[in-house]
Amino acid sequence: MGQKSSVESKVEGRGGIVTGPSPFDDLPVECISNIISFTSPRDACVVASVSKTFGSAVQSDSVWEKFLPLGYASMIPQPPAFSTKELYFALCDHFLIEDGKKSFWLDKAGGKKCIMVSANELAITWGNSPQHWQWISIPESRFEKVAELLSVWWFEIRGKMNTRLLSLGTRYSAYIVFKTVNKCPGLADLPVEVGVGLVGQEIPKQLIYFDGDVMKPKKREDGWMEAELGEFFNEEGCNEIELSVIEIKSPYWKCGLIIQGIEFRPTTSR
Amino acid sequence: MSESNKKISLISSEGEAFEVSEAVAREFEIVAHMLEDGCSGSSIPITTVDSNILGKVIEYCTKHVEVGNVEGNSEKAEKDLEEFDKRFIAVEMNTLFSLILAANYLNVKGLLNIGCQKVADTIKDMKPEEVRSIFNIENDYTPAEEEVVRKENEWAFQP
Repeated sequence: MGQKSSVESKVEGRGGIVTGPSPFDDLPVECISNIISFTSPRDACVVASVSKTFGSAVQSDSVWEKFLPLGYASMIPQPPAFSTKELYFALCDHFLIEDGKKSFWLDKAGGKKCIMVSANELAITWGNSPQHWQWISIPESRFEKVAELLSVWWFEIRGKMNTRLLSLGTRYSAYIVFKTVNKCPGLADLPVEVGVGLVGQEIPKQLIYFDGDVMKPKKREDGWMEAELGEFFNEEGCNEIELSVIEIKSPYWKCGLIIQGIEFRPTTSR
Repeated sequence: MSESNKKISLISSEGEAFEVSEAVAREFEIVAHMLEDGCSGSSIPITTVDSNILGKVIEYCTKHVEVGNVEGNSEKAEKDLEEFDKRFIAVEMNTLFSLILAANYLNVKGLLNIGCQKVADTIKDMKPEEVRSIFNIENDYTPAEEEVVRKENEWAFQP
């Protein structure tokens, strides 16, 4: 019972320990579902293991309806699921929206909306000039085309996005999602100035590196790399955010970068 | 607004009568439905709720009706009500569950929601063992069944 003392200390101030019959015994299962709907998708999946009653309470459509973002129905390509829980998890797998220009999914643990904007939706300086950038199709991309940097001196990417697509009352981080080819010569260990923020406000700038030892970008589960551009809080009244990824100071030619897009997902507390 | 002067008696499981205005009684959706169905009696038995809990539910509904009747200054009123709710629901566990049960039966949505939210805040971020231990819940899964449920939700246990 050594474990119990840690439990006891954890719940101090949360209402104390129940002795005698469980108060949950008296509650109808729809009440337990109601309680679970006030936690989070992750908590719901954890407490399913508590008992059979909890297990069935978690299956209730009412729980998962609460976790789904408002207006989700208009975003679904076709309703593939049989229960609301299955629908929820179907939405946690990314799918294309807006004619394939964006990818959408739900953050599984919290049910918040996530978006990746394809490179095609970004303003890339010299992006339409085939000797500088080329648009290629590769199987590991979500989008039909990704942008491959062949050679530029002026490296500048800008973008804007309507925040209506994201969940309100949520802090988001933006990431550039990319791969390097031959360690992207001329760019690898150069500091690249990046920023993201609400249109009309001053945008905090920070530096990223696409390769090299100074600050390694993160390897993603899908095989791509990512580097964070910054954070912003999406609240009522926000309309549009803008972002930039710029390196125009170095006199050298830069190449060897493949950009899939810019991803927006809830900031995870560290 | 003449009907709001009408009084209705709510009778607890012990037979104690609580006299409330019709507006307050209508906050109990179950009572509102009875009244709409033409039940015109002035005393309504609430046989499954005891005096202590019924008194509290009435206190909650009275406050919410009062605030709802005040016009203007809505932001401050909303804040006050939030504060009231917070204090109101800060009760010990058994009372909390009795309030949820009563709110569910009487269909008082606002009270049901703050009660459920309160319990939800307690179980958030807890492991199944912790939830069982705190609420004294019997694990009626067989080890094999529990294994299946855990497997199914494996992602949720990972950091």
